[in-house]
Amino acid sequence: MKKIVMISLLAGSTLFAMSGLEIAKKADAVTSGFESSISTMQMVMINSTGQKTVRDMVGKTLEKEGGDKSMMEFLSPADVKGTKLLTYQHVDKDDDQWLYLPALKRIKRISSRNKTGSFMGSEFSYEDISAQEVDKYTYPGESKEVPCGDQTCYEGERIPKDKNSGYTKQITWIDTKNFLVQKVDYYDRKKSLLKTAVFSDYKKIDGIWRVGKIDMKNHQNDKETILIWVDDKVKTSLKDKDFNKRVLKQ
Amino acid sequence: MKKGIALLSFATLVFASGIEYKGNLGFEYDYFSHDIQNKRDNAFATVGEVELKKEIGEGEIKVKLKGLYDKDDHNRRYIDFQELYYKYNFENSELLIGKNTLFWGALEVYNLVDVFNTKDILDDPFDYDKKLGTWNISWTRFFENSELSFILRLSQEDQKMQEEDSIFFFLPLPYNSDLVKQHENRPSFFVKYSGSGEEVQIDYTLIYEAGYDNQRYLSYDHGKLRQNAYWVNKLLGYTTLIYEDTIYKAEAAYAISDDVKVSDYLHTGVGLEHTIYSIAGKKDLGLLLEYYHYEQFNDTKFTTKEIGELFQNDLYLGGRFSFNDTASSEILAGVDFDLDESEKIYFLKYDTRILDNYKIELQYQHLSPSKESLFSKIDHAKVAISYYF
Repeated sequence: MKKIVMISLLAGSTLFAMSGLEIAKKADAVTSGFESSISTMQMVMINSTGQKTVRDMVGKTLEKEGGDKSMMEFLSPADVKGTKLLTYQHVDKDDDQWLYLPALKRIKRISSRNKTGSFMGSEFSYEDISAQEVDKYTYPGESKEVPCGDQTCYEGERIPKDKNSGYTKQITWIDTKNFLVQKVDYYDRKKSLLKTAVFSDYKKIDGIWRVGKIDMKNHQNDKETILIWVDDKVKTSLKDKDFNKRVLKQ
Repeated sequence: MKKGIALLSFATLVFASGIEYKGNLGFEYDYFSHDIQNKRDNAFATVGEVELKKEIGEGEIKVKLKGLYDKDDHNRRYIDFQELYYKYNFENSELLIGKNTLFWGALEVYNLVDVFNTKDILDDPFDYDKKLGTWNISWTRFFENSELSFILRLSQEDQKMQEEDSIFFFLPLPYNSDLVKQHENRPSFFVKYSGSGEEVQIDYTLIYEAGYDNQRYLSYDHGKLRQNAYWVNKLLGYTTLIYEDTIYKAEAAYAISDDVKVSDYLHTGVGLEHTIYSIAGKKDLGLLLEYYHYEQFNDTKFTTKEIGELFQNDLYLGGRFSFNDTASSEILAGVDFDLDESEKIYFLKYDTRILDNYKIELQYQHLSPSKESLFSKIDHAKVAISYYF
């Protein structure tokens, strides 16, 4: 009888254990399907002495099969107001990126290899703010269920496939109930813990889960950046032509 | 009268509702160490820009006003509309009528294809991004990965210069800024096609011009020197290619001159920019290398010196150090070697932001000229502070 119970338990755990890849796919699915979005964001950068610097921006994204298209416009500080970053993401090759500099009226194609570079002087890198496509990582091992705050999370590891990534691995905590990412630990090229991102203020907009706040703490320099979605709309009527280079100059 | 009406329209726009605005107001101080007789060794100026944009349905009106007031140089006291245009956006095209500035080019130090606007040498003769607005009518058709423009440039701007006791007045005789044109009321015509590659990370542009050349030559008239604008048929092109961590750039211009004094010519420039990311924390170092060459096809006509072309056989080496901090601090340093004249220009520029709305710029330049040069040995230091709103 004991044997039967043990076999049943083992069979049950095998049946319900989920691989990191499966969890990642589910986590991706609950935030996908937004078609397009227009978001007003505020970025609060806090240095090691607690001094705050605030930046405002508007982001537009178009969901695409082979990689999203996005446009980020900077509203502050005043000297860079109107600067725009247009990105065509690709899963299998480097992204296409153009920067529009309004003071010079210049559209400049830039290299998207700068994964590790700081985004606007914040603790977010360009890699962190780009879409977290499932195919960009490998997911070794199986996830384990652990408590995370009031919830239970799947704790798992993912390794960036891109050799230009600034990270050797990332540890993710994903809510077991709704598959929303709660926390990510980022390990640098020396395999030391570099940063932790805490995701919160999730809202369901038009049936799609959207994050409302990401708090990124850098453990190596004691700096912190909080990214807040002030306004967020999904399933807008944005089309491919809204991400043409033409709109950079508008 | 014309300027008065324009200023009145500008003031009306400022107080009207639904207008986007931005601008800056600042001070610039220049110090020159030189041994040239009767030239000032410093300059102090107040400079400001205001940009207003009003969207009306599918169209927009844009106004950009620039003002400069120099403490000593009376020529450097002006208010000018850099932009004043109406643009209508159709589904796949746009029509623009008015005065505006455009940027054409790929290289960093000097853009030999950036010919649409006349340079504002009164503000700063060595800052090639300072331009005068140009009256024109343009229509652009947009495709998925490319665009085609037809542009009729209606005006040729006079290039005013600083006073004779300014270090930047380098002519041997007094100057009359009234431009002499080969054909008095003939507009220049441009066709421009730009595209981007899908498989390869490349942007490219081809331009045909039937119009006035951006180069001008000087002629003697009643004891003064005057600029002459001459007609050309010109093919221009520029491209940017990204391969791995390096950006490759090229520009070329081939001109057939309609003026007997000016030779046909080919002007080319190639360059690369390689960035080393995340050094000393999150800082980046960009390495720049550019080379320019000017080939005139008839040596009996005006030389590059007479035509005022500085980038005839020049090599530039430089670096851009980005701190990637909240103040967007950056150091740009380099040296330009004129390989024909054994002339060198060293420069160092640092800019940063303080209190979020102020930009500070520090610059140092050292010009080490040859004996035959138009210029003299000069050390130039500049401090600029601007408030942005």
